[in-house]
Amino acid sequence: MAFLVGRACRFALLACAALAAAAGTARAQSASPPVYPGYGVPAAPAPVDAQVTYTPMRRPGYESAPSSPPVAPAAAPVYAPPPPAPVYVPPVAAPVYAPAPPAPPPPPAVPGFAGVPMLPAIGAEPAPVGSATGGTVAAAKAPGTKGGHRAFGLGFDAGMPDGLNLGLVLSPSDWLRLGASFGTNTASLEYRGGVSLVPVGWGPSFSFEAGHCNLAATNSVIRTFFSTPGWVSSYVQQFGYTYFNAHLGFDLVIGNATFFLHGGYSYLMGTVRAPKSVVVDSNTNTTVSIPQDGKVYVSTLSAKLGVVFMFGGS
Amino acid sequence: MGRRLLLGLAALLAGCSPIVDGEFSDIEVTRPDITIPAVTTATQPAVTFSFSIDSTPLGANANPEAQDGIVSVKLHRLALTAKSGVTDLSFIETLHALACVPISKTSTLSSRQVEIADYEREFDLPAGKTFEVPIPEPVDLLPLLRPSSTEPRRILVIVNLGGALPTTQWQADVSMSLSIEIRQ
Repeated sequence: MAFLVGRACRFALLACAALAAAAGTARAQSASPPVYPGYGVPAAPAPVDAQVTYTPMRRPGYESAPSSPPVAPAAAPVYAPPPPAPVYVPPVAAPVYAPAPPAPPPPPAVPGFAGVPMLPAIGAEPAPVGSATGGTVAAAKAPGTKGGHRAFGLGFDAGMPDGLNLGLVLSPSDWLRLGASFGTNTASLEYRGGVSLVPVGWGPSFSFEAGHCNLAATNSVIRTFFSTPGWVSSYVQQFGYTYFNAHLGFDLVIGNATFFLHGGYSYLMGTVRAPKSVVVDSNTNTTVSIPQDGKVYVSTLSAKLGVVFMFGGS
Repeated sequence: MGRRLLLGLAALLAGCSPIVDGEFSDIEVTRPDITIPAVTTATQPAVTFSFSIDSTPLGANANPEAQDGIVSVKLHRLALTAKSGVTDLSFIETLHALACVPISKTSTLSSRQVEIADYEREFDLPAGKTFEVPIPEPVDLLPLLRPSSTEPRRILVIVNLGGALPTTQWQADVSMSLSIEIRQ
């Protein structure tokens, strides 16, 4: 009896194992797409980058599912800068000797200027021989001037209200002249200082001056220039004045000499003194005296003509 | 076009002519040896005398253009200085003075006149040969230097003195201090 029971149990176990194997085969066939050999179309391969999962198959006789294959742990992401962009480095050409181009031919002579040497501008470095810019720069040069700059000079001029003046001139630059002079207005000693701006070294000029004529007895020149009403003239016995000039002019440079004609506006502050009383009516001996100096202010046009000789400097 | 040209030329000429401003703050005009008559009656101790000054040396002119050259003429001081007959002028109690331009050389009538002094003594004057007439404020004499073409260029000054005046005639110098401003 026991033998029969044992054999029945072993048979039952075998039957169960056969059923389990048949169930596993059927399940595996349902997971894959069916293949129809009559159409000849191969089955589409599984995507390579699809996530693959491992499902252990439980088979009879195994106590536990086999462990998953060992996988190396993923390292923590570390930022790596992109490699620098490649920089183009042109290939270095080997030096090749090339002769300098020949100087251009000199410009053709202009009628009327033929024979006149082209000189550099005042203050400019002399252009080298054969320079292409030498002739262009020389166009601003006054005729007759020399290349060197002369800083000192002696000036003389005549005009009104300046009178006759002789003085020293300091020219730190071609466009600037400073002057200090002594002179006379034919009646008294005079001294004057001023500055002249000559933008291009010659030609148009701007002059600003201040001068003073000492108080002195008037003469016919003073009375002619400072024409006063007849009734005042007898009271203007002595006259002195301080003046300011603002002149426009033209300076002509010939060699070391600069001839100029300046004209413009002058403002004059004068003092009138009458130390002697004036008998204005001889019948009654009526007299007029001026105990206090009179003041005169004159705004007038003025002009002067003069020359400056430059003799010093480089 | 022509008018603009003329205006431009006039402006240019005006710009060319010098502009002269003159200030004479003290011009002293002295009229010497004026005879002052004696007082005739003791009941009316006052005397009137007059003298004239040629105004041409002061700039008087009948030409309107020349008249415009004188901007201002003001009287700042009037003084009497005894010359003969008396040595002390402290007897003067009242003084009234009038300056005018007569309508003719022989007339004392005037169409323009200026009162230059109105003095009444309030306290005793110090003894002295010079009497300074107090003038509270400068007196404008410009109208007297603008005579018409028919008026003489002369200023007539009429003075009335009151007080314990001398009974004999005496002489004095009259001086006036003026300030004149001119502009041409």
